Amino acid sequence: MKELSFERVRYARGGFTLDADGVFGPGIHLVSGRVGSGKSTFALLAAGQLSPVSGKISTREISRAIVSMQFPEYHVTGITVRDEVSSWSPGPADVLETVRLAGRENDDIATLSRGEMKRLHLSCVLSAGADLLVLDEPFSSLDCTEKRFFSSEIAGHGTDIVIICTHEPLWLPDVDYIWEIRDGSLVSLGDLPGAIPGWDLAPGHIRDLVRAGRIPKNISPGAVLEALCRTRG
Amino acid sequence: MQDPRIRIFVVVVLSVASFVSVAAALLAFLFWVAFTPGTAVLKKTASATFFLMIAIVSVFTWLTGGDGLSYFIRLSVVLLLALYAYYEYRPGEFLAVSVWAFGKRYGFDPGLIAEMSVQSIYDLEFDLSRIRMAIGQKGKKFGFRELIPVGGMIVLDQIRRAGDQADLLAVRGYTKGGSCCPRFRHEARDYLCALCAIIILILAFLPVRDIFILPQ
Repeated sequence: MKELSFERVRYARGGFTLDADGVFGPGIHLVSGRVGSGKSTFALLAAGQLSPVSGKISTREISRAIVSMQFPEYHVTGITVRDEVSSWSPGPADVLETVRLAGRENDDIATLSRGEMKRLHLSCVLSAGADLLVLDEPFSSLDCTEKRFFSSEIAGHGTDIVIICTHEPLWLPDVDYIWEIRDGSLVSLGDLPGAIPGWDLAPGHIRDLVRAGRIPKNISPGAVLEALCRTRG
Repeated sequence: MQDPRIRIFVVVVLSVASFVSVAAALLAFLFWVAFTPGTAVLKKTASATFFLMIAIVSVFTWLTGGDGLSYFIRLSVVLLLALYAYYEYRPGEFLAVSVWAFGKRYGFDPGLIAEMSVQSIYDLEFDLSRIRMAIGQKGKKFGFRELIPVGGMIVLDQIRRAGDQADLLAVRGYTKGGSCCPRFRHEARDYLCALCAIIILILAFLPVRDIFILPQ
């Protein structure tokens, strides 16, 4: 079984520290945390782009790990939109249709807005054949329609291990596990729906539902709506 | 060194001394070894690039009949001091030192400009580290082919950040000048460093025979 594990990992830079201990198996994992809590650092550690000062990060049966950084500009290596798409291997075939950029293949990549660039980047990343996909703030720079679209794309994608590091409150996919960064440490809250009541940084509408005794089965807008409309028996 | 005023003074004084005299450059190097974190200030790739540039100019100077070795020693020490200053810098220091030196009326704006400039260098360094990671994920190495798109994106990002920063300052009502009440902490070691730097500067302008009694 594919696996990413953190064994008493500590990362430190200046006065900042992040501790992580836990195993990420197949499924979609949500890593939640306040701004500046270390979500992006964790994302880079998980994808093997940063090294811890102590502890061990290991993978099992993972052949390709990709981290999608918050700012899509970091990933740009092509001059035109077509160059950029083909820079991802294997090159996604119908990505431009998917992100509504068909006909702009020869445009300079710099002429895309950040939202367009993010759409293009996410679509390329999802098509790149990774079995460990770490998405750092995948919904930033996207409007509600696009957030909903990529939320369902991520949910239905079928990558073995997906880790979403975000503080997006609403347009989230259904996930399998929730983790939270509290006071510099990664804490496992477990699987759904059991993780929801203990989720300190849950969005306000989910906290309201928990307080009302209507714990949603998951965290996507559909699951939350179902809990909201649930008839008490 | 804790006090940024003394640190900036020391770096400027030692840089001048190193530039004018090889002997002073060697003394400044000893100072660098004794009073700075040493090799921790050397960030691998950037440092190597800068030293390579100095080495190339030194060789060219030597080939054209100049004193390439002297140039290499003096400029290398100046570079080491600059790397130390960059390593020790903490956000807000230039603004604080500028306001302390020139007052709120004339010191705030140059200090703010210096802060923003140094912040841009930090941003650039951060961006490049992330870009390297991103390129590696595509199974590529940072090469000539990536130079144009990556360079273009870095320039566009810097322009975008500058715009955001200008908006932020405008929203806060900035037109010119501002209020800043700098506070500095220092320790005895800071004064020792300043004293050493002054001595090295004096020695830099004195002929060697005036300092040492050389056997006839």
